[in-house]
Amino acid sequence: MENTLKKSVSRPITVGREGLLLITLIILCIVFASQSEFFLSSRNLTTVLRNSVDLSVICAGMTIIIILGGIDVSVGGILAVSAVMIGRAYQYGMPDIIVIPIGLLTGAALGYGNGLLIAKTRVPPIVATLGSMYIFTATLFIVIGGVWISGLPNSLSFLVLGSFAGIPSGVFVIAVVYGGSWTILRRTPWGQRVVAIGCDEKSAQLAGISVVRTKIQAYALLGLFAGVAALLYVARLRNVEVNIGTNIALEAIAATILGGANIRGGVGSLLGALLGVIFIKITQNGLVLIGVSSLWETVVIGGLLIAVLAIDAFETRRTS
Amino acid sequence: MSLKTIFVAGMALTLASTFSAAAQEAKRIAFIPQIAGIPYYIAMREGAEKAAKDLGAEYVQQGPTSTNAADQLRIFDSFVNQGFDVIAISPLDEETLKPAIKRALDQGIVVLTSDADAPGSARQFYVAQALDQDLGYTLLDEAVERIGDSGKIAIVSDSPTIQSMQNWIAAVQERAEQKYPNIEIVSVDHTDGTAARAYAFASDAMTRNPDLKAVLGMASTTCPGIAQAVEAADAIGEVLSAGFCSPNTARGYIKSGAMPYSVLWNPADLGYLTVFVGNHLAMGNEITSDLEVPGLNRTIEVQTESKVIVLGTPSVFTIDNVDNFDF
Repeated sequence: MENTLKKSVSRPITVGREGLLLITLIILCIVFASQSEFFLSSRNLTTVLRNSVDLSVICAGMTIIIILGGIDVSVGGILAVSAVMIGRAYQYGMPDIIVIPIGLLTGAALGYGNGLLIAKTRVPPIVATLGSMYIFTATLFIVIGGVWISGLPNSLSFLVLGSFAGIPSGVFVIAVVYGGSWTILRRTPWGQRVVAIGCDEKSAQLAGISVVRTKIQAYALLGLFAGVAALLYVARLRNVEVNIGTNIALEAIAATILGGANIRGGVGSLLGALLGVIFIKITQNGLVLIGVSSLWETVVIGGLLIAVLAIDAFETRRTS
Repeated sequence: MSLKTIFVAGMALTLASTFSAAAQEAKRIAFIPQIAGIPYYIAMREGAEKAAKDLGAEYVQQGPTSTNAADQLRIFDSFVNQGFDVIAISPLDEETLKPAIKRALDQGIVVLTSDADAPGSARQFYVAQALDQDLGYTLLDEAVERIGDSGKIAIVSDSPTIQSMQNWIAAVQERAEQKYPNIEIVSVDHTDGTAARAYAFASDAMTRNPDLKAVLGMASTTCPGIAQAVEAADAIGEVLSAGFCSPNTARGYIKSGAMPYSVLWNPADLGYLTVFVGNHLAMGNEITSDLEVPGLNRTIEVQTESKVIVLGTPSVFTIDNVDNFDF
């Protein structure tokens, strides 16, 4: 009796996280739309989409890492180093067919390094990636040598700025990345291993799962996504600046948690994370449009994050 | 003249020069920029190193890897502990530095602000690139020349903790109020230093104001973003972007027409002047209103009351002259 009651109470709420976020998002949109006639214009929504593509891609990888019970605060650094490699490759006159693999491989290699460090040495991921973040940032400074890389070719800009059959190309990029990630996570044995490790690493190990290998692969995948994000960033802004990637790790973690991922691992939602990204980008955009100082956006996002975590903690206490 | 005499004379010369160098020991001068590794401060370092060479001083430049006031303070303190004779700084945050500046002065170190000021601190002089007011006025005047004296303008800046940028914003606003009553400044937004945020703010400003005429960037970090936003919106010719941007950063956009001009000064000259002033003070000399800097081909303005030394009027970079500069 008690068991069934517990199920009937807790079940709809866990399912409802994406729904809850969607409702909050809709309310937010109504508020912004009522204050600014331009908010719902196709031009504005396209702009928001263009500004969301790189963060969305990183968030897909971050969701998998958080489900695994890990975290990566160095993704901004991976994005930065990949972007610098891409920029330099363009400067040496290399064609897209070579530049693209350079960007992707750089990201994947740095992610692989993170995974190796975390899985082999068992340093807590937040500390390990904090360390690598510093190294990546320094690498950026050393490679860039003080000269910003500007005026890069726009041959890949269509991936972010273009459109296909009237639909902005960013939609397709996000669909491919999220479709692929969902399939890997929910429809392959590898994805099941990720969830199992996130739920209980020891049991997963005892069940014969290669924890070390799965972790390394997951971090390499996130690195690969950061490399994709770097390509999209450079395609959109045709510029690599010293501050590139500054806040993207924190935004990615915030979006993933807003979207229902549990920071302790085991639980997470790709759809939720995507909604989290949209929430953050809509907030940034909407506040500007209705004329509220942009300084408030961090207050709104931070406040909501605390609210979400408080609800989570409350729920955990009630159900356990 | 025998070989021996030449040898002796040479020895004497060497000795004499060694002695005179010992009597007038080379001054050690440090400068702390707001951030390491951007072209602007690299150009400043080149000028500063040239001055150090001309004056027989030693010059070191070290800045934080992100615009972080605490890191700047740490670097400042480390220069104090290393016994530098002159420390110049482009402060990110006045309040953080005030006590440290006081301590350094008490130890007999010459403390200057350069590139940006901390007017409430005990710093001896502020070596200014150009007056904040002149910069703000020039930026808006040049815009008005191109878009006419009425219309909407949006401002995109870097972190609100950077005092000089706040002053430039105020100067632009003041100029608009006093001289161009029909220019309306519709928004002021602050980025986190990334081009992506500047791009987002500029796009949003254009969306919110379909009749927007210009986006002005207060920081070099905002320039690629705002210019790229104008290009992406296919608004070249309709919306003008401009700002305080280094020629290298703005070059591509000046040529595409998205950013018809950029206002700044020559940072190499600023670096030169900073080292000159620091060395001058460390030698025990006074700064007077008729200060002359032999290595610089321009007139320096000294405001003895506010203790500000101004490099001169701002430069405007356009398609006609941008290729003459490399910073």
